[in-house]
Amino acid sequence: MSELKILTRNVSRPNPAHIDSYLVNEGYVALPRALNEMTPEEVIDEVKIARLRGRGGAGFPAGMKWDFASRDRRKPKYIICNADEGEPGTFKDRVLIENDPHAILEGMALAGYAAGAEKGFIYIRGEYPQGARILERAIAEATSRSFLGDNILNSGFNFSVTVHRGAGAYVCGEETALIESLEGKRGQSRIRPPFPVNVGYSNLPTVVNNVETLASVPPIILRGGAWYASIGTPECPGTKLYSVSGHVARPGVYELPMGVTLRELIFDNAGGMREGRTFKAAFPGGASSACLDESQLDVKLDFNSLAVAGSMLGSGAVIVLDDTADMVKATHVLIKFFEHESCGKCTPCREGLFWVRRILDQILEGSASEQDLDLLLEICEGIRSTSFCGLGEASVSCVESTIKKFRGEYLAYLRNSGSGEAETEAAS
Amino acid sequence: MMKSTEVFSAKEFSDMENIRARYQEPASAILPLLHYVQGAQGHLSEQALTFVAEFIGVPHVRTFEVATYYTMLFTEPVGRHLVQVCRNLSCHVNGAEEVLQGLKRELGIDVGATTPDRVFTLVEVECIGACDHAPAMMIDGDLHRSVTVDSVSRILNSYREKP
Ligand SMILES: Cc1cc2nc3c(=O)[nH]c(=O)nc-3n(C[C@H](O)[C@H](O)[C@H](O)COP(=O)(O)O)c2cc1C
Ligand code: SF4
Ligand code: FES
Repeated sequence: MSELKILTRNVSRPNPAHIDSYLVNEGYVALPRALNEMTPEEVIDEVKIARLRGRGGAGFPAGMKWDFASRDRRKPKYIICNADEGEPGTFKDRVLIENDPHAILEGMALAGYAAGAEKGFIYIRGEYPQGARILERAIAEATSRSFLGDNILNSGFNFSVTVHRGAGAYVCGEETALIESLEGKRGQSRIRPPFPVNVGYSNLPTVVNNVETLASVPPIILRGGAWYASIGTPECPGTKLYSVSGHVARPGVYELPMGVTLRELIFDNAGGMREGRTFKAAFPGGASSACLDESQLDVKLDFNSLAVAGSMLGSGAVIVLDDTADMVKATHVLIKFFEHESCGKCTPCREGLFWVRRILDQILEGSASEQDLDLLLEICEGIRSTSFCGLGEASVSCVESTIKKFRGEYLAYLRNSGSGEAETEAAS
Repeated sequence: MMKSTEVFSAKEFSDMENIRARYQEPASAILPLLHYVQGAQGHLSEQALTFVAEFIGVPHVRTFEVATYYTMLFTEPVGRHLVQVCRNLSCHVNGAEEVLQGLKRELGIDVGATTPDRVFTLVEVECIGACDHAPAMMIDGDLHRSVTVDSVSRILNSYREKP
């Protein structure tokens, strides 16, 4: 399967972030069309027909989310573009932010019109200062040409956007933690329900959508929901930006119809494995996803197929490992990440991840026994089933899946316990 | 009430007023203000945090709570340049550990420490969204991609004279 450039249509243009580059390629055509010829309900219907599913990880239907927010009578309402992009292995939103910021802004304005919101925020991770500058400039450009601001193109519709920088907390990508952070608090998750569509920013109706979701909207309005729904798979239409990294020959962002297989993505697009190396495993949805092994290379990379395969698409961050990878060390790296990013609000995640990391330390040091592997799985089960938010729930997927699929590598460390040679033998 | 002149210059104070004015909900300006103050003063002093709380009209504890929550905010002075090395998986499997060792050698400090001349602070960070050019690191706001042990010293040198 080869690339299909819908979201990345402008990426290789000269000076792609500039409004004039956007305008020459049907930029800001969808917005006036919606404002002049469509009711907000019709915009929502078009997105529903497209069956656009959220690209931030959960795959929730965007049209439905907008519908919920539009039906809530309370005002004002808000649109938040989630540009926190913190899932390890993910760098696709950065490509859109840096190369096509106007597509994001146009998508936000359309979402605002549909849901009845006049104010938008882009919550961008603190580690993307350049992206924040590019977005600020794009907002100024769009405002000066009346694509944003008061009375947009004389339609009577107002919509303004503010860029808000995060400050280095992965959990702030979770929509309720993001809202807490935007309200000037510690970014810790809230209980859901109520969902942000009803009780969001300042406790008012708020649509939170990922960068990629919003950037998908202008083409849908322009070409129609039916056109979009014909791409990809019936349950997961459209194209997806896959961030491919790790041990492939050509890491990068590839835009492909949903449902491309892992094999096609790696070998037809990302240049295959490095010279002389073979595929060992891949985390198809970043650090939060269960790993796939060689027997699963033909799994389709969409929400439904990956769920059936026991993993998840998440943000589409495909981290590929070859035969040189040590799966126990890889898991240790990921668990250290989750331990560091745990917000500390609930005990299973805060304390559990500490113990998971400790046991992994001991396995790597060669001071653990096989019983510790069972204990590890038991703690993981506790974290998965009782954590307060998605961070804790998904954090142990890496441990559970690598023990299941690469138990031998753990056993190699355990066999050498006490000999002090665990590392050398397992790696050889 | 604290006076702004105890902590900030007139220019800084007027920038802060502009930042506050961008938000309908004043508390939403806390994080942008802390970013701004840290950019201007290097770190978030107790005085600055107290002032920002009063400036926004929230209890003092609120700005301290926020400042200590986020990895990118510092309540203690750090070096003039912040070297942030990614330690997450895609960088890890592409040589991040060697790069980190190289940085430690070159700077003569451990992770979390600041060089005696206070020019560099070295920290490890999680994925910075540059996994397609692993291993990656950021110095201040600049991204450095595909870093090698050999390029470490050249990169550091380009910052030594910078303010
Ligand atoms: C720990 C955690 C981190 C998340 N990080 C992000 C993120 O960085 N970007 C994002 O768009 N969604 C992230 N999400 C998903 C959001 O909570 C939310 O589902 C999403 O922003 C909704 O937008 P969408 O429907 O367009 O996908 C995260 C979820 C969890 C549990
Ligand atoms: S699961 Fe982890 S990140 Fe989520 S609320 Fe609990 S401690 Fe915080
Ligand atoms: S893992 Fe290092 S930048 Fe993503």
